[in-house]
Amino acid sequence: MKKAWVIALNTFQESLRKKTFYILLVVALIVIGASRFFSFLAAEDELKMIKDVSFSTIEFFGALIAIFTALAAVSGEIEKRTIYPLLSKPITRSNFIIGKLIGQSLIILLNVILMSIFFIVLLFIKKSPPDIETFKTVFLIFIELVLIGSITLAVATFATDAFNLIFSFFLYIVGHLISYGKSLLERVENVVLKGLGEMLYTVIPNYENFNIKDKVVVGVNVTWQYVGQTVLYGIIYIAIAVLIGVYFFNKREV
Amino acid sequence: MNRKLNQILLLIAIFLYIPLGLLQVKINYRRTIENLESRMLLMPGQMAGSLILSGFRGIAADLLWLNIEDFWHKGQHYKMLPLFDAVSWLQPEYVTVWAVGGWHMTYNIFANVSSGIDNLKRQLETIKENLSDSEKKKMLPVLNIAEEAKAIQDGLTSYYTHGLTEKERPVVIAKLTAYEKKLEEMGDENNKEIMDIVKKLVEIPREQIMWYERGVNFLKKGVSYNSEKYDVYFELGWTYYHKGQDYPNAVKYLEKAVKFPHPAYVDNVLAHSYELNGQPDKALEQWEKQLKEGNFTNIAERAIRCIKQDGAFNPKKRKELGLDPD
Repeated sequence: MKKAWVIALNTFQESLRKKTFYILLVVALIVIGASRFFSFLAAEDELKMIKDVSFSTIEFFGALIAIFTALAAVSGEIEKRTIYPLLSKPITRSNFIIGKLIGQSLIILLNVILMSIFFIVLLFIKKSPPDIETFKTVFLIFIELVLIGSITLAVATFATDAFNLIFSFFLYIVGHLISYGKSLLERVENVVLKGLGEMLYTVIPNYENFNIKDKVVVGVNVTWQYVGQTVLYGIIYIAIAVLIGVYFFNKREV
Repeated sequence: MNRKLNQILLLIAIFLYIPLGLLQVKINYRRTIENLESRMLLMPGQMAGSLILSGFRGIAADLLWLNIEDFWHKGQHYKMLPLFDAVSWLQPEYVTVWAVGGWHMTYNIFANVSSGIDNLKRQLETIKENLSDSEKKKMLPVLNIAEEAKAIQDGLTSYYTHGLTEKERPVVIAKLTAYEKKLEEMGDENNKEIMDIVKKLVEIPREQIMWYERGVNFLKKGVSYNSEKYDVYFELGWTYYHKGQDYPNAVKYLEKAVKFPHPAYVDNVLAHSYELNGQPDKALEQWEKQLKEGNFTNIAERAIRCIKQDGAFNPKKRKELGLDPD
């Protein structure tokens, strides 16, 4: 685990040196700040818009950072050939993948914290301090982002960057729409199709589980039980992604 | 790592899908009972839009709301209608959209429909004055319809009138439809100018009732999505109370509103509704509750005194009882 931690810190520092991270972060902060332009609206509507824009920005730009960091984590090491001396040391490939995952999760965490601080300052300016539901929403977004990053990392162990990029974005969209697929599936009568659909429903990550922002902004309260179950879902899925990543990375000739 | 161990890792990964699937069932259950489902009904044609909006429905609703604000300030009420449907479809728990949408239909569009009525009335009076006695006699059935339509329209807009309950509205609509039919049968061989004005006079209250009902139905739909908050119940109750003067329904929805945490003025509106619905005892109880809770104490004290002394506090009720003559 100590070795994985060294790789994690290295990944974190490496990501901090990349301009992409700062560009995305600055753009995200500008977008969150721009939500203040809605001051011509009624106070209640303005607050809703600030929350909507901020939550969505944290999620969207966080997803971009998660995907790009994960893409660079494996292919970057291979391209620069830094992976060869690394793997020649007593570091297992599973240590490498776990370390990379922890490192990119730290970057995601930093990004979420910075954007959230900015968002919370805006809420204080509007004299509406954040409630516990706001923190639950941000926390679930963070778990979702780590999951997105872990899947991108797993795919990076066997696929090209171009494929991985398209796949990750495609999965992001499908993962948010899978719930609708489920309701359509209930109307399917063909047993084979239904079975195939059920399988896909289980295999494809249901990102909509983590999406409580649209409800929280309109005053719906979310129980800790729901948050707990969703976090557990995220952890299990991240574990699956890591196992698959390690499996393919072990098979890869590097 | 040897090949066998690697395969075990893959098997564990596959095995983990079992608890994941079971957990998803639990999450789905919790999403349903905690009202976290998006409730968007997807039609095949809406799939593309939903792909774009996946996970960002709030932002989409906000962008549409900005359009509503724009149309609102430009006075383009009709353009807002599809947007209200779209925003409420994207975020049905956003109570403002139901409240504002219902208000636009029952107040702004309602008023907009009748904007030219005074002009029509004046035109009709001028034409009538210039008619010969024989022409007046010939046009009498048409002029009578105009008077009836004007009376119905006055009843819809004035606070001191009877108003129209849910049961009465279809009767009035049927009456106006019959007038329209009658006017059609009379044809244009009569004075065309008068016929055109009277047709419009009949059309206006009919359209106003239609917009009032559309607004009420919109609010009722809002209630079905927000049954655990006072907001839309109050908007619906207020619309019945103030615009429709339909007091049984006003009491029904305001009683539901006060079951949830609400501002103190909601209790005042309920007290007035009780009075106008012929329930002075309940109105008294409501004002006493306000007094006890320290809300609007001056008004509550006056209301209690008036109800006990005169049997009425609400201005409309007092007028009905002849307590405050003009």
